[in-house]
Amino acid sequence: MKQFLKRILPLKLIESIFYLKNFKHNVYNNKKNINLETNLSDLFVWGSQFEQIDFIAENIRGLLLGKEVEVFHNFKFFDSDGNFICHKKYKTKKFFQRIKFDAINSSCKYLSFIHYVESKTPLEEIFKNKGIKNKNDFCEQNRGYTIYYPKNGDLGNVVHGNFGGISKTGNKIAITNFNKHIYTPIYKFSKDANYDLVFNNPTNKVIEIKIIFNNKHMDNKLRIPALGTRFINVRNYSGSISFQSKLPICRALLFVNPSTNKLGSFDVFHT
Amino acid sequence: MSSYFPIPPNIWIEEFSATIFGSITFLNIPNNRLKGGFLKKQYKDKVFLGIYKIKNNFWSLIKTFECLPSEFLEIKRKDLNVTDSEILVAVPKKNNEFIDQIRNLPEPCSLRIDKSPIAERASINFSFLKSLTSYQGEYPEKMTTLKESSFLSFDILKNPSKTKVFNYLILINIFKDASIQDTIKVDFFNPSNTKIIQSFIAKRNSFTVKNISLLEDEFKNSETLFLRSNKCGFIPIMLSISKESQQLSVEHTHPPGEFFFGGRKYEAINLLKKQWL
Repeated sequence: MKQFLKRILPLKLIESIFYLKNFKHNVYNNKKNINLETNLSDLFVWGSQFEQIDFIAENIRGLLLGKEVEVFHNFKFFDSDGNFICHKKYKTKKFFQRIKFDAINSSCKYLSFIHYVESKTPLEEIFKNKGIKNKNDFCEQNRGYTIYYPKNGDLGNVVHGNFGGISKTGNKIAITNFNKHIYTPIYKFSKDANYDLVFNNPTNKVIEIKIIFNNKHMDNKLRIPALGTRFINVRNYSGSISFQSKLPICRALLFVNPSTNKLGSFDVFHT
Repeated sequence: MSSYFPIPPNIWIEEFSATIFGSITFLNIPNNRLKGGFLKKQYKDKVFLGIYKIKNNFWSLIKTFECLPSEFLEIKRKDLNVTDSEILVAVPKKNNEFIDQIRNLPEPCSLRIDKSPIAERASINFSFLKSLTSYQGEYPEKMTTLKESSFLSFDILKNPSKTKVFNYLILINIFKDASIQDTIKVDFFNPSNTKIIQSFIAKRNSFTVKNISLLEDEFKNSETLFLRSNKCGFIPIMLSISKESQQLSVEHTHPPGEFFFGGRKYEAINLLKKQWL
């Protein structure tokens, strides 16, 4: 049925039908109005206590053309309250570029950043030359990978971009829902480790996240402004943890033993 | 969309004379759901996990586990009577009725209680001495029926310090029909001249583990290489281990479909695939 409707109805109408049908769980705004000028980015996490942070950025123009294309990878950093801090720019021709970030001048333990690409070779032109006529309703999405090197560590741990939908101009297509969702990562927290659970907010609204310790019948609350970042340190706890919020999917970035790495016990992943 | 949970391979490291062990952690709870009101029923379902491997072109049940609501279950490959790298799949079901020998892998049940987004997942783990690395992963049931598909990936997650780190590329393929175990040629190629550096054989219904550091030694280059197959899709993951601290890192690479967003993104993805496949 879905496939049949997709064949006979205009895309915008189909999207509107599914948006209404899914009104309790929509992740993105229905009026997103994207085109090839839109550069969407995940909202990535920066941590000041790490020895080094690298980023692997993809060159979508080069990948589409099958040859090296000069691009500028841009990064905008926002402090834990979502205020703009700085902008960094790196030039490359490579299909994938591993970028070593310089230190960020901020007192925040964790903050967030976005990634977008500029180039003299616009996507519009690439698609036109390749014969794609309708160039609306899709855009490039910069997901990337962040690599965190712990202090005293010799290996960086990689995590892919997870969620964002923030354009280079700051438009946000991720939304909160009227209903609250409870997300529970499939991860067993251990008393022997210590954890930083880091949350950021890619929406326009202030969000409140309740962190529920399922084995202790206790919870903590975090309020996060737009583009802001908050974290909670977890120690001496064993079992599962859930996150309740108005985000349809509320996934934290989890750092395991973030401050020390004597036993090679550092890890990071999206919950 | 329900999911299977592949139990990752154990990887023997000659230089350490030791093994990296693969395991999964399962939690019997819907991983995303609407907050319930007074009238909403509590989640009280038991879940059973049937562990299947392939024997004589059939999926063969080797063990079942029972998991109570809100309880964790850790399944370690080393505790099962299997080889280090043979395909091993955990199938979740709401009843303990698993068939011992079956041609097509049984359908996994879903733990969902509403339409909340996100795939059902397990924690996919690798451990070595005191190091443990994980990611939240699954093998979507939908992918296990794709007889003809393609694969384009990039070894970007390898750690470039090849003197300090071993990098392992793990390609996962699960196909519903156990008799389908044909060999698939996967090309490692240099994107700047599309020259094939090396081709290797992967199989359907298997884990294929490649030590990338050895491959790099062969052609003395640590630049990003691309991988492709015109016949079969895989989930690619990169596992790295430090030679000094034995710290581990694991992550899967994004499929090319993630480079675009929106209703018409498939036109762009097709264009990108056409360029490289």
